[in-house]
Amino acid sequence: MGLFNNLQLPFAQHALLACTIVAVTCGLIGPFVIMRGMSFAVHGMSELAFTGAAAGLLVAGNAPAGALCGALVVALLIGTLGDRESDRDSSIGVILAGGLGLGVLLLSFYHGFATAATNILFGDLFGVSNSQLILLLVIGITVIIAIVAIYRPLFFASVDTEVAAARGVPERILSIAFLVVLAFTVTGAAQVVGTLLVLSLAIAPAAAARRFSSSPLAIAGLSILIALVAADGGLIASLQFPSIKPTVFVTGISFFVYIVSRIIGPAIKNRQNRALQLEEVVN
Amino acid sequence: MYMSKSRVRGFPGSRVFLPFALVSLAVIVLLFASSCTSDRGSPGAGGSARNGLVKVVAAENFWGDVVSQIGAGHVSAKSIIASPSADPHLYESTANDAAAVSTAKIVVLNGAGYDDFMNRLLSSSGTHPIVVSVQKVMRAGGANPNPHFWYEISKVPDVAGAIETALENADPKNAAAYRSNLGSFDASLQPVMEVINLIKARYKGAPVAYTERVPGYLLNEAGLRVVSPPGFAQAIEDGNDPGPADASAMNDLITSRKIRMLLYNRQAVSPVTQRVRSLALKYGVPVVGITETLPRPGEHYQQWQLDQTRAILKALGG
Repeated sequence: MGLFNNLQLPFAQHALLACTIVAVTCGLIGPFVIMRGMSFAVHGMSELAFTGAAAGLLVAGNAPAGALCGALVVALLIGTLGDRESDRDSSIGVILAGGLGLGVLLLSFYHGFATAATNILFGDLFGVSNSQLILLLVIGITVIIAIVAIYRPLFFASVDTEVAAARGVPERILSIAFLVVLAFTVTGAAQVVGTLLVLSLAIAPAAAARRFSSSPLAIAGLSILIALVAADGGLIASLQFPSIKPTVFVTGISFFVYIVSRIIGPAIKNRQNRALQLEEVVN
Repeated sequence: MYMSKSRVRGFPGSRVFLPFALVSLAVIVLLFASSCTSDRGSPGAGGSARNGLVKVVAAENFWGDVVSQIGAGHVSAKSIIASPSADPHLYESTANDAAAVSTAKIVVLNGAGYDDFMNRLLSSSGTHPIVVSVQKVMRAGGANPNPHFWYEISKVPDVAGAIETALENADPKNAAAYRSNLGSFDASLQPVMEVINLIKARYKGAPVAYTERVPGYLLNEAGLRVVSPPGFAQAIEDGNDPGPADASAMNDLITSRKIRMLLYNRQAVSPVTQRVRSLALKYGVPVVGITETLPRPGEHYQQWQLDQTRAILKALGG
């Protein structure tokens, strides 16, 4: 079974589509995650999808719905407890630990195999069903619309909170809104591709993109591009080498791109900046 | 953060950003639409390998072995959980597994949540092979059934029968061969049943303990009484640590020699089960290691179960 045989099968197309949606949304929110110093929040949220799923499984027998409701609770918790930047890291750590403990407790009440909940931690890219794809698509479109709607004020507030506040940008509302968007992206994606892939697609591409350029637009575009290369490229690689799990390739590519960006990024960025300065001098 | 204020205020992004977002949105919708149409167009059959063999995928290697025995010479059977160290609970599919399920004519799965990944692979495959669910064949239900159905030897012929029926439906021209193979398979389970009946005759009601409920059905059929705390086995099965009450109850069973034998899962060794095992060895309680899946490639299901039941008989005193 080679790459092209596999690509004709629906499971591979489902996986490709899921990867694309997750990469675009994660690549899109990634630069904000980094600017706002929220990598740990992404980690916390994606792991807490497990607790939400366990609660959903116990209460309604529905893990995805539970995970999405849980995401909202986690976003609000992080928003209120981690209000100040100096508190954020520690409060997320506390929420994460407490939440995971709660998840274990909930699962012990649930008699039966809890793979629907634990599966969130690992994901199964080749087991994406039609209904999961629709869920991902709805989340993806919502996230894109939401980010486009709040892009300018969010960007301003993320670059310089105090100046933004002085100019009347409602930082508090924006912060909560971004947390909610983040929570939905992360939990929605975690259910399909697993926590590990969400982490590597929401953080690494944007972190690498920032090493290549200073222009916000270029960073956003590069971040999405790198996420796409990692997700779709990783998937295609696993179709070509079908005995190796796709997660390995996806995380491997995004890590590799990040390392490359650390090595050659500064040179590229310097040249850009020099060109920019030259332009300003000429003008 | 690195850019000057003037660049921020004059940020040109959002004007270009909207079209970019719209384009990516359009691409996603297009991809989605194309995937949905290709779903409908995908052939449900396939399933016959080029060499005329019926393609069967089993979730675990013990069911895969039963399939290849009944379909000998006429099927190509693939088992997804084949490595002895693989834990079906923590499973992520490879493209190989997904492709195998997508092109199979028959899929054999255990059910009862033991191999949920098969349901995911089936739903992403877009195809509709014949599905043999062992849980359905055995009519196991309830809130938390013991999913280790392959340890209920007396009911395994039912599963073999269901597999034979599926093979007959998929490949009617070799029906006679399948039927005759089913007969020999059922007969080959007889020695195992004899050992089980022997244990029952000699040691009925003897108290035993296990670290996981893997051999639960077997112990029940052999008339042995499992006295270890259920919470202990459940915690190990779920990948958690047993609570202190269960752990000390287990210790007490061993140190006061209230059990005749300790069974532990050789494939799911954790610090907790290892401690219990060495405690049993220290106090002279016989220890029998059993495995969750077929331990050696090429070994048959019957031989595996025969060896294990004999080991149990021997540990009890022969």
